[in-house]
Amino acid sequence: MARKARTRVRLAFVTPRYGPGVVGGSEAVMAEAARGFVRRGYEVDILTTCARSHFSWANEFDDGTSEDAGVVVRRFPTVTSRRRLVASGLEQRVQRGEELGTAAEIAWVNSRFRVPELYLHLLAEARRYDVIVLSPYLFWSTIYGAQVAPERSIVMPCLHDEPYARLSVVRSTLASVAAVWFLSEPEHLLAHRIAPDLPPRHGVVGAAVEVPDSYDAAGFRERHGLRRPFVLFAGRREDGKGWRELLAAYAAAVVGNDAPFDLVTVGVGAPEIPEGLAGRVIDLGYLDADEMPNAFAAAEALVQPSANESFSRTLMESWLAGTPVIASAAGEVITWHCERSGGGLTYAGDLEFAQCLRFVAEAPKAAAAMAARGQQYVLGNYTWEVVLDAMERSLVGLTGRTAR
Amino acid sequence: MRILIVGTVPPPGGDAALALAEIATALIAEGHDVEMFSPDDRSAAHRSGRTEGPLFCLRLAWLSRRFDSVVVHFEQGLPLRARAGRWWRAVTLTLFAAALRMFPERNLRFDPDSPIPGGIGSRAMGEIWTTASHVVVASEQDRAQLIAIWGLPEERVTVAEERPERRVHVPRGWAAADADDPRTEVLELVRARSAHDRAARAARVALGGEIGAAPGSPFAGDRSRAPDPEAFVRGAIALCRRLVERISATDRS
Repeated sequence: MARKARTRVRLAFVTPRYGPGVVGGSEAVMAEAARGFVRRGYEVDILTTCARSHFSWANEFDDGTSEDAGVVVRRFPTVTSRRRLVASGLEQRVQRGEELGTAAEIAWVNSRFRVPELYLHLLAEARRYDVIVLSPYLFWSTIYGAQVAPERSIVMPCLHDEPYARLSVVRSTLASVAAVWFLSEPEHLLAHRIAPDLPPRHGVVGAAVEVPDSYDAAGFRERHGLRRPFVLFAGRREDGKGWRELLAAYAAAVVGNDAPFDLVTVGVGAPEIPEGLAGRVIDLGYLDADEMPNAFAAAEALVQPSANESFSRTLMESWLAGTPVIASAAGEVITWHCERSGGGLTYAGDLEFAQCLRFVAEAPKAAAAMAARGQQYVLGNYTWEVVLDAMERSLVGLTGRTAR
Repeated sequence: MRILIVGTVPPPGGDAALALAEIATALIAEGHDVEMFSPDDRSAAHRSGRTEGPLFCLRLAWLSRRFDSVVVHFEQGLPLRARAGRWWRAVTLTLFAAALRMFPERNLRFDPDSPIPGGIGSRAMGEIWTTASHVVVASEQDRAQLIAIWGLPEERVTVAEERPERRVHVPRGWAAADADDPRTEVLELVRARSAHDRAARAARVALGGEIGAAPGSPFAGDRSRAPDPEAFVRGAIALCRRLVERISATDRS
């Protein structure tokens, strides 16, 4: 009797959001890694919600199953809490760093959004997946999903040094799973500080960005009517990403006549540009994935004011496009990347921000040399071939199986 | 069909919760719109909250507008808290029966580790049994009693299948939440007593004794000694009437 053919290695990537219009580093890494594993012969399901916005968690996509670039996408509807006052009270207590106790922490996790049918799917199907990868750390989908089959679950937490990361439910989730993937060494060190009992299988796998075939910087400026040189902010325009601090620093530079560039912003969230900066700060809104590389190439520099990054894909995309980086020194991970690569300047305060702008304006050759170092850094460490190899080594260690 | 499932679903809840989650999964796979309502805030349910007492019954009645069918898993704290008094039990079960009747279809399941509120023979449960579309009980004895006492058609009562034990992982930190929860001690007590009640009930059935509420049951009480709530109300009304008559007579004098 012929032996039954062994099935392919089956992976589930559990991410709270997936699809067009979704902006988020963790979501992008999960989506691209999933597609990368399909190319390497794995069978991959994306288990996600019907939400596009991480503020409302409203169900904007249809639920059900579809296929995207070889990945099976299973969407489940979100349920949001009706107890808004309770949710708001818990959020404030978390932000203040109060010790909530486990029951209140679970209530906090439940107060944002829940995906009961995703959980039911995992309960029923977990045994059919060889590995379940969940990210990022602070959402219901990860904290609840990781409990279903912890012995075959990997959490890619994308930790930031923020009050949420210090909740005991986060610590117990990280301790209970089979493995933990980090995107950078500072994130790894942070995890040891907040969760001393990490599982033995944990390590830095990194993250990657797609290398574009070509850039069209001139065409980008033309298409968007950008006639003056500009620096770029790309991502979510929200407090947690340093957008308000950037506007304040840029306003100070404009007042002090130290702003040789306009500030162009792309991404999601209301930019709320002050009247005094109208004409100097230009919002292009959400750009298609095809147009984003051109935005990086057209900019004189990328500005990255966020302290809450576990990797920062925009840094990598900017360096790949040959554009230097001006970043807030408050971001441990970003500072680490800039120091390792020599591809960026960091600033602490408005005055230093203005000086960085002047440097890029007055020393374009030095800025270009910096960008070239950044580009080499990305190509050497953060392409998908390199990162998928690292992830695959971890999967083989866990399952004892390879796709090929 | 829009179906409401009421009962504990995982992560907490053990084997019975898993069985309920499997029912939900199967119904969703059949294309039904399913919502789960759990008494445990930690459950991966659509909604959670108190599932005991008259207020819960009113909430259930309110929810009935949105659903074609309800699946209720009777368990500790659903629809009665442990050690509920006779009055509380009578009012709750009456309201609960009324709320269930508002759903076009009613499916009842009984947790093998929990006593049936009031016992199979109790009057308060009678309305619930007789209006159920389908009842799943824990044992052949319970099924036989239901059919014998309440005349339920045989096809409407089935016995839950034996399931291989399966555990839901609950993280270490969450177990600590259990320890903080004052309900835990009560639940443990109820579990112990319920095991005793079930054994006593089985013994009485085997010996051909009285069928009905088990003495010492946290739900059932002792029917032979406790007053009948309806009789008590009638007595209270008569007493009030006599008092009013006496006061009126005093005023006239």
